[in-house]
Amino acid sequence: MPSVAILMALAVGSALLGTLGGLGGAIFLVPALILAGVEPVVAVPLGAASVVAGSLAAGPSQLRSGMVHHRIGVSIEVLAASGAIVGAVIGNAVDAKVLTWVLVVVALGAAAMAARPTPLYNLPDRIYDNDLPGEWPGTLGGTYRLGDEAVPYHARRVPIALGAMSLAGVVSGLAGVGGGFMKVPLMREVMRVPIKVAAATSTFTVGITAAVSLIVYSRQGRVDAGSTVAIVVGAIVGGIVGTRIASRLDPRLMRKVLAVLLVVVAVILVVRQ
Amino acid sequence: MSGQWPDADDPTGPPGLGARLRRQQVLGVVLVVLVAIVGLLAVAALVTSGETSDSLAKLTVAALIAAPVVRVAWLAVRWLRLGDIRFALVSAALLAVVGVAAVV
Repeated sequence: MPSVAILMALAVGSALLGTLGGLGGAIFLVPALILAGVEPVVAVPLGAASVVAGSLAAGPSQLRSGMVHHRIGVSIEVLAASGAIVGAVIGNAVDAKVLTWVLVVVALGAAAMAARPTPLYNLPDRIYDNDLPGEWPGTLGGTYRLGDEAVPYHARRVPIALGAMSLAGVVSGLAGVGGGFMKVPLMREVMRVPIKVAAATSTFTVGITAAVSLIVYSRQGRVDAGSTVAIVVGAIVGGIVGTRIASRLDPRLMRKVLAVLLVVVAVILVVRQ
Repeated sequence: MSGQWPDADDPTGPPGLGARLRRQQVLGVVLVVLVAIVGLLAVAALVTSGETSDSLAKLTVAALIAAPVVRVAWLAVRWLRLGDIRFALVSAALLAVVGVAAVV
């Protein structure tokens, strides 16, 4: 296991990168840990711990933004968290090489999702200008502020999205990543939830998915508590710093840069195999 | 509404603004406290050694797992109080999934 200083540095760096690109840090952290010589079966729980810490650190500021749709988040999490349990159980039974290949596919998938354009499906409607922005009680709809205008939205094709979320959960449990790179596009493309709401809601939900995975990893004896605290401190620091820097950078450019980085990570993992 | 809490007592705001913002502010404070607890436990585990460090590290992992669960439980209670039974039950189902993870 690398030293505490190296673990913290990796966690800060990956959380910083993940926050800047809106992808979450574990997608960089888990491959980095494997490249640093950590066994995949141990690296995966450390990735999950960084996801929970990052989600927790981002919680207060995202709540202030009014973008988190808790009802959508809790609804998709029933399936995603169930999938995470399945993924965590499978992950403990498969060979380390299989887990590394899963990470390669996850990194390439995340790169593809990061490089995609983000079309605007929901348009402002003046009827809602005086409405309170946020989620509508009892529904999977709501409004959010786009400049001075109010944009209404309502989650569509919920059963299809829920089914796909369970797959995102399996990937999360297997690879120790948050799965936000799958959840955000699913919310945006399938449910037609605005990208800002989808991203904020995803940050809330990945913390739950990863926490559920972490419970299973703990029972499997895969959690190294001593290393986890270094990762947690690094992820919180990296997440907070990243959130402050992110607002000054062009998110589209950042996502493209990170997509290239993820491809590089995937190639290095393949070469190491 | 980005970055700052709007004024909950703004008389020109939309109806219901104050009540909803106060509920969000309570959750916001709970989340800040949870971040502080997890962060402090983790730092304490790093700066101590031996059995104390091990115990604090295990506590950190426990607090880390508990934090999102507390948030879901808080939502379940809030929705139950608001009469939003459907989503209170969905939250309860999610808590049940967390319970299943603990016995797998």
